[in-house]
Amino acid sequence: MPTMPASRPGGESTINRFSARRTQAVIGFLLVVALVLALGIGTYAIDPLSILANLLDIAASAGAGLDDRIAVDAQVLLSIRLPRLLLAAMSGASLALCGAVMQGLFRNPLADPSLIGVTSGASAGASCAIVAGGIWAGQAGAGLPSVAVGAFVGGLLTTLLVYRLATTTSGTSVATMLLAGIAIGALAGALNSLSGFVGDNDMLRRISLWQMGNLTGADWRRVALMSTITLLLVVLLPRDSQALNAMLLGESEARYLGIEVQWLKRRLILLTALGVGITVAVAGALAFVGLMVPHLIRLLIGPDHRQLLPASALAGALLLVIADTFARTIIAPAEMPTGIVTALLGAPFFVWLLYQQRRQLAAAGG
Amino acid sequence: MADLLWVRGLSLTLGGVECLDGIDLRLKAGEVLAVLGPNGAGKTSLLRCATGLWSPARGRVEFNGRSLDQWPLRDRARLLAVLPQSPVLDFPFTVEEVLLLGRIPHATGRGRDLAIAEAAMDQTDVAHLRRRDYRHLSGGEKQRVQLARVLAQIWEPVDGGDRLLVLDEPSTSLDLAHQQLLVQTVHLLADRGIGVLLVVHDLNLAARCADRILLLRAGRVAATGRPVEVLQSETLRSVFDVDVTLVEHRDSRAPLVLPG
Repeated sequence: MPTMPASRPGGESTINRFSARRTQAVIGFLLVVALVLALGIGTYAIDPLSILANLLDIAASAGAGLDDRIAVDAQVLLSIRLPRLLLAAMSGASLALCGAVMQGLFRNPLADPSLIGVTSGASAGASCAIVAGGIWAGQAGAGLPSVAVGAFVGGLLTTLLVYRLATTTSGTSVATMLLAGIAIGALAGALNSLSGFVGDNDMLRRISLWQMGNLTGADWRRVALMSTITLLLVVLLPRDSQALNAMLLGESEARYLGIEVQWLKRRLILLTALGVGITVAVAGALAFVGLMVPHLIRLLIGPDHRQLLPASALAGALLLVIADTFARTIIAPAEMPTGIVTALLGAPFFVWLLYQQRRQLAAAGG
Repeated sequence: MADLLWVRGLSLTLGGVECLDGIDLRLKAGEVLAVLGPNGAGKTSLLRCATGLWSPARGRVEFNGRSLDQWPLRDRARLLAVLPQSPVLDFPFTVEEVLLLGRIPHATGRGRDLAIAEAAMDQTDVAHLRRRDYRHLSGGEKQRVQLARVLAQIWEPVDGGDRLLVLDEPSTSLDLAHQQLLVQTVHLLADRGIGVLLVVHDLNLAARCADRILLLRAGRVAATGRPVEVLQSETLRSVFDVDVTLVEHRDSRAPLVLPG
């Protein structure tokens, strides 16, 4: 072996990380605690410790012959709080997963569905579906299925457009990506305003929900739709973890590592548009979740998608359960949209990230 | 013995401009071929066609006796590794993790992959950087880490054929000591039966590394042969449009090209 300069000790840029498994276990534990606590917290308080016992009682007696207190508890839990919590958890998991995957696909840690316009595109698609469905088929036409399809198509078209615009062989231009986000956001705003002239009052009320993420409409139908999609993402996306790791090196490098890049891109664009679109359809635009969660997880356990994806899904669920509990209790008995909480957290976080990037660019002399 | 890489009549047109015209090239296992030529002569285009990244307009590329596009990508990736010119990586991988990316085509298990990464890091003198954030390395360090990554990709012989390493400008940011290490590495790989195809600008580096040189000018082969045959002042003047003086290295007898 050749003799070379003696080993230098690791400098300040040495990376120290937490164990991925332990981090995932801790986040998972926190998620369970948060879910149990959040079930109890609210305008109508329920003792969290009695929740499990009550649920067993309810199941045993199938709703008949319960005493009043438990019957009310059961009513609040089963038809209001549990569906909402599940919807929050699954929306958070899906958004965080989609955020992490998009950042890999765009090879850019700032690619968040809400920043690059995918969320706006999906909400514009949803508004169009509400108005078009309402005009052609009355109330029935503006139901959840058509909204979901509209949001998915809107999200898919936007992702394809931004990807085409911003991605070159040498990576993704942050500027182009964010500018595309602005343009599509403006287009979505215009479409939303336009539907104000076309739609009736009910449509307008429903469309206004899409302007800001909101979980008040949670019911079991939405939970069923969202859990199907979340399950799909949780099963399919991690299969491409190694391919995403290779993609971070660049598209041609990924090909040289044996990855069928064209198929990978199509698959991931479709799945992330599905995840973001359906989340928008059931919960509206919950901004920045897909940016904050994967970024924090990378700081803790590193960018390897094999650990990043499961950890992000858990942490996204945790973040949204906490944010939603805040949103529905902080100004009780009124509620504020959950999207306000995520935006209040996420916008300063994004500014901090931009500042970090600027410093890195300056340090690299670029 | 069959050729490891066999390029026949390769032509490529980019944006209406013919940038490669009728290139022939053969490379055997354990042989080192350097592609030289002025800027824009088509070196990188040739390399991209020869590794299946671009499809040529005309011509054939065979790798291990089989047409390149007939290879399943993953099988090919176990035998063919390519070092790109200037890779961009914006995510906080450690050096060791970047090396492990090179093991993605294989299924040899984490223990084996770590041992191979270790050996490859030693070979390019980056072992002391293993826990460092790749993004914060210097240009030369990044280049050595990427070289180690492609070494890790084809470190062990595998079934299905001989191995080929393609290096595009591997020495641009390297200091003198690490250039020397690169030459040693290339010779070591050739001794292990790996074919090496490299694009370089430094004629003297090519003369020290290569068994044969392919000189490109405006998308055509201007000369090909052993370094002493190709590196002639007449040939170099006609291709690079400069006057050179040729001397012989005292120990290795390799030709040394001096400007003027």
